[in-house]
Amino acid sequence: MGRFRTIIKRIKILLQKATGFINLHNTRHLNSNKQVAPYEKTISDTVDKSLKVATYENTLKELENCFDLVHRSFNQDEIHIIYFSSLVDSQTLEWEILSPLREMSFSHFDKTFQQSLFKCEDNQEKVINGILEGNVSLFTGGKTYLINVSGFEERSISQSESETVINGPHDSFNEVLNTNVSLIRRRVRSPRLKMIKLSVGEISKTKVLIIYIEGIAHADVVKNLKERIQSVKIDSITDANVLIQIIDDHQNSPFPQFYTTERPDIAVTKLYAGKVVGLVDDSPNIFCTPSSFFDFFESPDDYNQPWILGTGVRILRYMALFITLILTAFYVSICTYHYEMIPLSLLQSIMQSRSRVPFPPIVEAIFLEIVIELLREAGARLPTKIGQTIGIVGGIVIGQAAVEAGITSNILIIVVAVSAIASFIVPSYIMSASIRMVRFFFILMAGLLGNIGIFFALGILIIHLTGLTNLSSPYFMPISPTFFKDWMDSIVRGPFYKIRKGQPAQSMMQNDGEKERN
Amino acid sequence: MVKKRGINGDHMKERLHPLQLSILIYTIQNGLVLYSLPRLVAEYFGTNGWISIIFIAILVNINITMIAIIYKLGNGRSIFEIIEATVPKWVMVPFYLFIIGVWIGIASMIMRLYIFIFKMMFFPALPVSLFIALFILLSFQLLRGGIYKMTKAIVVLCAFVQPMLFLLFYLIPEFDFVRYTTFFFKGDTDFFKGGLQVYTAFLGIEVSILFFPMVEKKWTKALFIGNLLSTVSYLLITFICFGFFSFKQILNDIFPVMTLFEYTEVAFLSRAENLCFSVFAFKLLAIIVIYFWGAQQIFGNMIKSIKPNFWIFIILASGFILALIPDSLVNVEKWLLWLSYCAIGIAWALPIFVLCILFTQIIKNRINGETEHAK
Amino acid sequence: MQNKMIVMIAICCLFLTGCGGSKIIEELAILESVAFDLSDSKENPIKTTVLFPTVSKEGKAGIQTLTADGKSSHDTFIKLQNLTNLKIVGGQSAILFGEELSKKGLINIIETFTRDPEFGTRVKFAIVEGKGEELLKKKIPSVPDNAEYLYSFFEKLGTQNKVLNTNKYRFLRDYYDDGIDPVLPVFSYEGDNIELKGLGTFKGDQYVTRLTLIETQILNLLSGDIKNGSLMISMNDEESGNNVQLYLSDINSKNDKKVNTSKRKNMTAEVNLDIKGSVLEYTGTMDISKDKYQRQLEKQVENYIITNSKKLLIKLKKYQTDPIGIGSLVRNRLSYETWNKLNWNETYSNMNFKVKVKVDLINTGNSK
Repeated sequence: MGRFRTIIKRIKILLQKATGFINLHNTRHLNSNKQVAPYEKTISDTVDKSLKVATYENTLKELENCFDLVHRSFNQDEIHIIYFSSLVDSQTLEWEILSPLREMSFSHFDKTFQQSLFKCEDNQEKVINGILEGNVSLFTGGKTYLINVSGFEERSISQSESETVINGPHDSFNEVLNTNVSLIRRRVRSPRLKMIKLSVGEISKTKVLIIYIEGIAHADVVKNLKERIQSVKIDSITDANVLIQIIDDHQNSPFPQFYTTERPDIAVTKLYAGKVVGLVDDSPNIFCTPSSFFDFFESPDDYNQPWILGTGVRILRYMALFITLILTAFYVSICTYHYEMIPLSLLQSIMQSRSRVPFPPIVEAIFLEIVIELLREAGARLPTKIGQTIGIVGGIVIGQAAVEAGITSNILIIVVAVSAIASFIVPSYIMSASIRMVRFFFILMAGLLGNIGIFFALGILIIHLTGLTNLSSPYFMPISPTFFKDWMDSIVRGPFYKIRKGQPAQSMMQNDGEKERN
Repeated sequence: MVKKRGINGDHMKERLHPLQLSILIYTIQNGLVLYSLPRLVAEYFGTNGWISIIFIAILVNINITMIAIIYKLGNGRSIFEIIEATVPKWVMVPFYLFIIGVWIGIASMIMRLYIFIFKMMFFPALPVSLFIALFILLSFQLLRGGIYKMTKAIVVLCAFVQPMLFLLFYLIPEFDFVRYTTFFFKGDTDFFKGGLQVYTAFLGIEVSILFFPMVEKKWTKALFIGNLLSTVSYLLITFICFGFFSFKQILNDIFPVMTLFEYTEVAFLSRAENLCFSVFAFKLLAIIVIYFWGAQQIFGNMIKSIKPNFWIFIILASGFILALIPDSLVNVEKWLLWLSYCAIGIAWALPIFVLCILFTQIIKNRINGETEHAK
Repeated sequence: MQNKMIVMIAICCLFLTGCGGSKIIEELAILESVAFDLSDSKENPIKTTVLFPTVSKEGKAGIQTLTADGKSSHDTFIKLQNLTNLKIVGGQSAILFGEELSKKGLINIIETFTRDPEFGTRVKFAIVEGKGEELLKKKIPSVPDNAEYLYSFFEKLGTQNKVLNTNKYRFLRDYYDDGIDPVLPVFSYEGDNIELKGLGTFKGDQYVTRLTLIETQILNLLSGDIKNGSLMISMNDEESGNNVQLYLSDINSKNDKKVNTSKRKNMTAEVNLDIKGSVLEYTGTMDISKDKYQRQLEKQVENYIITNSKKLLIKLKKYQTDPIGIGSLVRNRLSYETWNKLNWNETYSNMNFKVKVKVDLINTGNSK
């Protein structure tokens, strides 16, 4: 009887898991009970540490075995300083601290230490955090002071390699948070630009900034985002992309839900549109929310050109989206099931090109698609010196040789090449990678059921996409909750006199449909 | 476990917008009859039978007006509340089960009919269960999200089906008014039976009676707009059919609309009827899913303690099994016809029933109000 | 979990690629042309010849023709399947009917096409003077593929002459309509090339008579509006009695038909034509750039058209076929019961026709 009950229980849990899968995910953010167990030790440690008073000896013991730690004493061991030489700016250090310390006498110290540059800090944990952030900690007479002299080598502001624009600003974010903030701050000269600082990662303690323009952005979005980020319990994050995957609503979807970019001009445009932007230290990528599927198809180039050109390019991008998803699948379905759709004049050439191939069309198509994916991935990993040669070899020679050997047909090579090129038109690399993955699904369904297989796959894709949400805001706006006025800016690029004053409805939409407009 | 907002109406912040609703109604009005509609109209109404669609549409509009009146008089309460205020639940259970049975039956039969036609035209050797499994899979994906996600997805899917209508422009060179003849409704006609069959082309709208708790305030005009769109598209297609084919030719052709689309020849694609019929699967999916959702709502109302998602499994399983039962086109059409008649009955009986209950409630309130005043 | 399900199904799909009733294109014999004839044997009255393209392993294209006898069209298809290693499927085809078979009646074969969904509505029909089999098997030096030649011939005809644009849909439509009779072009293969001989008119589904090319042109004019048509006129000069050729091209003609049904026994039909064209060839002696002579020429053309239309209509009445569609016009004027009671053959034979033409010459070409 008991065994029967456990079986029933297990089936119930399985059913609940299958249908309540979304619920399970939402609990990750708000219900942190599950994450407590492995981290119990550190919590108790930090609890202990946070009560300790900062002393020179304890700090040294905490930071022992660190190669770049420097500790010096002045004035016959009455003043000790500890700092990391790899984190401080040597000029500022020399100017602000070492020279004054060498020259000053003890009586002046108290007054000097009243300056705001010297922050008084008692808590041991905070002192250690301060040293880790590039501060110099100064221990004297029972008191501890932290002085900020951080500065380190950073990459200079250069052009972004993955998001290039023909006409427009060419600077891009780099890995240091302050530089990125300066790039944004000097483009938005308004006191309403607010930044909230959070810290993510138990060990890495990475700084995360939430930036928004007060009065334009919706307060709920900011609050929601802040809660999400604060509830993340993880050791470290290395990049903004890692963070956004953790705070995603739907982590099993192949599509990215937060829009990321490396360019400050895009970031600032999003801010003005009422979206909230997040910066992560050590990462040149920033993320924006709430974002929609159509954001990934915008590029600053559209805005820097006359609107007719911009609209034409946008429409080209959507056409490219269709081409890359459907073209190869369509070829497979026509050659396998629907011969009657080929016009009579093309029939001979298609039959000729397929006559030498021993495989059914779907095997041929999958084989070629895999070869192209291999080429692409190899091209991304190769050192630049070999990259060019292998690209040419792979692209041209293999293709030609395959046709000559009779393994593939030349029409298929054209089809696959066109659809690969079309997939790179999408400005956002992550989205184009997702589309490339989804393409395989379409080809498989086409090989199974022909045209209706393609439509089934399209149906599954659309149902999935319209069900995605980004921070509870619908992903397929402005088509799926339909707001015709916003089409001027997302589906086509309307002239500037038509884009209405105010913010698009997406930034106001929370909770799956609650509407509050400006 | 945290309840997701908006699935079953607990935190009702999300509402269906009238624009979404009108597209939804347009998509869920039974579309499979469209493919044989000109023939039905010619068989039962004689020459120039397409005019009958206008009359039937007026009847449907009367039905919709009833639903709108129920909404207004009931102040937006869901019909289950209205019914259960007067009639005890255990009396209504057999009726609810009947409605559920009919709706699941219609959905499965429509799916099966579509698969039959598809197999006949394009894929004679395909295993049926694979097809049914795919439809069920897509319905599962749609149903799981609840009505709001369903509506969003259906609005986008409808945008794919619509361009089919533009193909009709290719037929204009062959169109000739002479073929209409000046005879109206001549030939062997059977108005009643024909009227019922044409009415099945407008079915699907009775599920909107369950939308009451989930819509915005002024939504009833969306029903009329959706119905108007359906009527216009049916009229357009039958009108062009009657001018394109001669009368006896329509009688002879089982799916005249299919032949119509076969004739259109786009520059690089011939035989576009393949694509058109495949894209129609989207519309069909919407119809099936709405019937399943309606059944799920009624189930959920009968037994409130079980999680609503559990009913999805039962409904889908029974849909799958039901769809496997008939094995020939004649059987499917027979089943579908009887189930459609039942559905027409439900479409008229349910609103009338709820209206009667509403009137009794209003009269009772007035009497109570008067006695209160009297006191 | 849901995505896992999809992935599992997708992987299983990869193994099922053979199960879908696939028609992989190089294993098919896609018929380009089919010809039906009356065969000599009594038990298998229908002889079918099919033509389809083949591709050899080296990639060279070629065609192959096969013939078989049977009791019905699908019976012959089954027999044909046993003659080749490829799978025979229908598709875009041109379908030819032998002359004898057409005279006997075509509806049985054509109804098979309606029932089988593989044959589309745009397959082209034609009649062959003689045997369709011979036409398909004839080897013409410059033409590698007879069927493709025929198909492009059909397309050309369709653009030039509305009446000659015949396909399954049109034939069936006119066959089922009781106000109009179908027509099909007639090809012949005597001589070096496959050539178009004229237009075949039908009564019901039986081929009755063939109209010459000149009569086809007139029929084209009488049937409906024309855009970009052409007309070759051969007339006798009034003064000298010599033969004069006139070629009108880029003809835009408007056609207006009226029917008077007041007298049951003698109905009248009137056709008003309004033709505008440009002169490309004139072998006469008049100086047609002058206004006076243009008027004369126009009158001559009008007379020509009226006389020839009368001759054509008499011929059509004799064979009791109605490809112009006078029947549907009469039908629209009568009530349903009267139309059903009417003996259309008799009425049609007693009908009076009047043709009124107005010709305008737009220009007379580059020289005088």
